[in-house]
Amino acid sequence: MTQMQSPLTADIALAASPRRVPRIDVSNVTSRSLSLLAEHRENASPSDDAETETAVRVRGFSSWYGDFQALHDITVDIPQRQVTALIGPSGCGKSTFLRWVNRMNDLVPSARASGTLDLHGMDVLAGTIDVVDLRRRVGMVFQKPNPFPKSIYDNVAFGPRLHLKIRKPVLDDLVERSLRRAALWDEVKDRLKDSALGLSGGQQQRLCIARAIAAGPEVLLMDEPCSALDPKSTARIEELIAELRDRYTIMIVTHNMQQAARVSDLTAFFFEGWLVESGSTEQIFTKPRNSQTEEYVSGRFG
Amino acid sequence: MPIDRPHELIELRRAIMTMGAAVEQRVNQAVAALMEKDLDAARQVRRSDDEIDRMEVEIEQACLRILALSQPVATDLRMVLAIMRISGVLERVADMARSIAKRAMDLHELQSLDLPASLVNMAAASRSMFADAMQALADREVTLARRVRDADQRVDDLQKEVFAWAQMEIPRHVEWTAAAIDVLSVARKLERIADLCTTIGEEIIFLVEGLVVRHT
Repeated sequence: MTQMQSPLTADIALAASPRRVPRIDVSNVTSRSLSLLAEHRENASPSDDAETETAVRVRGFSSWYGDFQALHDITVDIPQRQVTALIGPSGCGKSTFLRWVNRMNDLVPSARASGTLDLHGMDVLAGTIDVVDLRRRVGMVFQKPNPFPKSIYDNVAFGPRLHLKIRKPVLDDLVERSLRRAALWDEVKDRLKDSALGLSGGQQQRLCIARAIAAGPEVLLMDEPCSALDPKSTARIEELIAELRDRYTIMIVTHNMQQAARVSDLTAFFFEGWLVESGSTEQIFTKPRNSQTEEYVSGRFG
Repeated sequence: MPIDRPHELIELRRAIMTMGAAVEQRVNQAVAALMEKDLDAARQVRRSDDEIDRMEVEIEQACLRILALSQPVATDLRMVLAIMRISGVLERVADMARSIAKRAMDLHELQSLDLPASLVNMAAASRSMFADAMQALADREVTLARRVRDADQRVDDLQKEVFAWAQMEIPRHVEWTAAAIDVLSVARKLERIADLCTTIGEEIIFLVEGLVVRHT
């Protein structure tokens, strides 16, 4: 059983290298085409990623707000270090489900749940767990960027200061690393003491991501993180999500199906509190098994 | 895997060029079988088309994935459509090559006649059209694509000459009938290859310029 290594303590190489894109020189077709052919014949077809472990295991999970049952008998495996998109029309329960993973629903007095919701084998619903530590391990980014009314530095340092006893040089390093991983460092490195509220919407959202990362989570929950952003910022965040998935398990609620198609490995379609279908994103968007899924992803309702 | 559109488009172009290379190899072998009586070449082409068929399916699946997951528009979209259609065209060219190789083997066995010059010229022209079509695809070169389309007329004219040859020779050498029929069949296949090259040229023009020239 592989031990989950906290990203905080791992030896970190800054993930700054751009994605490798093979260039093909086809200026001379005859010789180039023959070598392409030779290469094609030599290469075995690429195998899929090695078996993935499950980060969040959900079995027969139901939840209520008072008498209203918001989720019915949800069963799904959220894979580790991949992006899982939760889609479905308004009111389908996807955000409710997301908020149970880090027990944010505890803040709603009438909320209760039953069934199994495990994070790496730990029962998230147990009364005995340290909810504050859970929320460090499972970070969250919200629809509307919500930086604290503090400096950029203090926003990112907040979590580590709360959870860990670390000295300033180490904290400085951690803040920089988190901001780099959130693709924000270059833009703010000369003004870390400035108020976070002075940043643009897209920058604030990346700051919120840096803040979530700084606490060393295993899972990142994102609840429509791009809804309040312009297309360019949205594209930036989507690129960031693709990079972050190497280190973190990501669950993203989105009402934008094209976004789900672009960024996720796995897609789960919710409707009226039921999990109608989940599968690889490619399968959901090319060959959905359920006719309701087909109608939703084709934009016929929702 | 989330979609990385630039990377997947590059891989798609690579895949179609690889398929083109495999088909070009078969076309060349089929022509060699015919003109140089190269039986080894004929046998190689006759061997199963699994590789080509598999490439066609893989390319189609890649196109489907790109369309479903990354919503390409403009040039990217036209490229995906063009490549999807070209892979089908290439598969048909490979089929033609296979048929030609079979006829070449028959002709070798029959040993009765000398191939008419018109057929020899058709073979050379079709082979060269295919090479040009692949070059045009690689470079996205519209001028070359248009030249490929223009070369089709000559192949059609040569096919008429082959027909005329058959009409003249069969009554004079009845023992050549079977072989002459093979010759006519090869001519038809070569003309089909030239046609398919024209289609590739049209797809390249569509890809680059967004013009549909198919029925003009």
